[in-house]
Order: sequence, then structure tokens, then C-alpha cells
Amino acid sequence: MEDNDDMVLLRDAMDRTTDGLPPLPDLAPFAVREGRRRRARARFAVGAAAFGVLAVGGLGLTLLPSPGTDVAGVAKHIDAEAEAERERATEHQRKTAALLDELLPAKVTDIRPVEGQVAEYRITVDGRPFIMTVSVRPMSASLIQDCHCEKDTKLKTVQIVDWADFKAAQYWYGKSRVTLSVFGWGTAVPLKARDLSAVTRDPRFMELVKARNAHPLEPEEPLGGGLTRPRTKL
Amino acid sequence: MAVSTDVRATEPDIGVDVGSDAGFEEFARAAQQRLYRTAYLLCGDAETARDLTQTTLAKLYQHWRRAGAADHPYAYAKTVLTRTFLSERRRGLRDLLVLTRTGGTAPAPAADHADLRVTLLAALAELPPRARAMVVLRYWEDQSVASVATLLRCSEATVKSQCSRSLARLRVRLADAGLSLTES
Repeated sequence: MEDNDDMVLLRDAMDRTTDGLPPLPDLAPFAVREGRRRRARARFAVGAAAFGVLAVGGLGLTLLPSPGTDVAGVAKHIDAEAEAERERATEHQRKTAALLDELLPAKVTDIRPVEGQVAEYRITVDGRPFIMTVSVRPMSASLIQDCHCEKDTKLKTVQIVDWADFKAAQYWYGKSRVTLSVFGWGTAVPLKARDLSAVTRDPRFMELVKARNAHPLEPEEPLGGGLTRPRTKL
Repeated sequence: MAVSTDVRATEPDIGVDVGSDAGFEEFARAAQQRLYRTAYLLCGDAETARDLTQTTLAKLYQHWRRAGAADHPYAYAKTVLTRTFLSERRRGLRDLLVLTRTGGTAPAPAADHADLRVTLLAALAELPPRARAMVVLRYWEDQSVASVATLLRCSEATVKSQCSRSLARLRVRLADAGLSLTES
């Protein structure tokens, strides 16, 4: 049986334990932003399920339930797989954005993942918008053989680019090509390539790279794949 | 002192503009610190608690039309918080959550009552996640046995027995550390 005095005293102890917590910053704007993303994902999932059902119909199968045909089950399966993949991509982007937020210079004031482009982020530097790429992309099998990096435990530098309107740091790791770049679309980028390479020295970034090397979120690069422009336009 | 079992007694005073973004933001600002404290007792560290609070508010926004129209939106938020805590524990996402901060590192609480804080959190950490959630909801949030059972989708008998066992363990752990629940 519960002892009423103990309950009261435990509550008091919990009260005192949490009393010293600092006040939080305003979380409402983050919640609205993230909540909207969640709503959009949920709507997309419903659309994907509907598409799955229609695709089954288009293949000549009946849309009407019949014994032994579980159309809803197929749609749910497609939905679940697509949703799981989207969740993984979204979480990866959130983790990467949080890390960039911490590791890039203070003049980078805003970092937002681009929805649907797992390797791209909208960033604001000195008040101006740019597209940043943080990509861990599987290399072609022949390149993996050439680079002898499959068992590497560190990033192997491939190239550092420090042009006025394009900054990039590119590496090989395991079976992947790791790229950090900022494309200015003709505008000078107020960052240095070493600002990008500094990110890669953080062990948390290496954890992200290892995870994506083991479980890629991007398709294998084409032969000769190297630095490319981001897909997202400003 | 009697323990109130009325959840409204601990609810922040929030006038909710049902369904609107402005209503949500007003609610979030009023409730976030209280949710953060509950999250801290569930997670045991300030940073993870902050991430859990953020995730909870985002999920709440996703379903705000329904949540905002509920009799007690804060109770709804607590349900989301607890279930998110439990599901993410199950999925082993603690490390993942740690990296989803949008601001700087959350500092640890001030040093007041440091011994009590460390010991209580260590003792809570020894409880399985569901038992810990039961203790926090029952004793910190003042929820009735029936409410906790509904929220955690288990029987009232389970809540009673788990809480009783957990309370006994906490009492022993605090006493072992030279602290007692009666410390002032």
C-alpha cells in the first residue's frame, strides 16, 4: 500500500530536484516548424498509400478486395517502408543541421534541411542565403577498388576547393564519398574551405559518416562522380 | 498534507485558442517549462529532457486541432511526452535525440540540493522506463492510479504494485546515500 507521507515527500524531493533547471528558450517556433513537417510527411504517407493501391490496380490486379488479395496490406507495407525511409532521412538531416549549427562559424545564422533532398541545407551566412551540401554517397564499385579505402577508419582527403563562389571539402571514407560544399550561384561565399573541413574533425560528424556509410540514404554516384551543383535553387 | 489527484491542480493556467497557430504558441510557451521538468525526471539529464520537450511540442502541433480542443490540453501533452519517452527508449534513440538541439547546450540545474538531485536521479535511473514513468506521473504529476493506467495502457493493479515497489526502492536508495525523503 502506498504511504501518503512518502508520496508527498517524494514529490517534494522531485520538486527540489527540478527547481534549479534553467528556463528554456522559446520552443514554440521550433515546434511549429517541426510540426508542419510532420503534418506534411503524414499527408505524403497517405498519398503514397493511395498511389500504391492505384499502382497495384494499374498492373492488372483488381482493386476490389477478394479472397487471398490484401490490397490494404500491400499499401500499408509500401507506406511503412516509405515512411521509415523518410523518417531516417529526416532524422539524419536534423542531426546534421544541429551539428552544423554548432560547428560552423557564428556568421552562419540559419541552417534548414531541404525537404526531399537529403544532402542539402539552406543556410544563411552574413544575412545572405546559400545552399550547403553535406553528402555521404556510395561510390561505384570500381572506385572503391581504386581508392583502397574500404577499411579506413579516418577520412581520406580527396580535394579542397576554395574558390570565391564555391567552397568544398571532399573525402573518401569506406565505400562512400563525403562532400561538404557551399555553392554561391555566382555570389561570393563568405566562408572558407577550412570552415567546412573543421566540421569533419568533430567525432560526432564521424559518427554520422559511419552510420551513412553503413546504411546509405543517397543513391550510388554515377561513374566519375565528383563535385556537383546542388539540386536546390536559391 | 493530502495529495491531490486532480490533474488540473498542477496544470499551467492556459487559455487555449482552439486550433490556431497563435493558440498553440501561447500554450507551448506556458507549458514548456512544466513539461521540461517532467521530461527531466523521466530522462535524467537536461539536454535529453529539452529534446524530449521539443519533440513533444512538435507532435502536439501536428495534432493541435484535436489537442487544443481537448478539455485539458496539458494532460494531452503529458500523454504525448510520456509515450514519446517510452517509445524512444525502446528504439534506443537517446543518442539520436541528443543531436536534435536547435540552440546551445542546456546547462545542468543549479547546484542547490545537488546531493538530493544526483541521488534521486540515480535512483530513478535504476527503475525500468515504464516504472519510472509511473512514478513520475503518479507522484510528480499527481495523476490518479486510473489516469496512469489509462495513459500507459495497463491495469490499475499493475500501476499500484509497480509504484509501491518503486517507492520502496527509492526510499532505500536515498537512505543508503544518507538522504531521506524527509530532508528539508
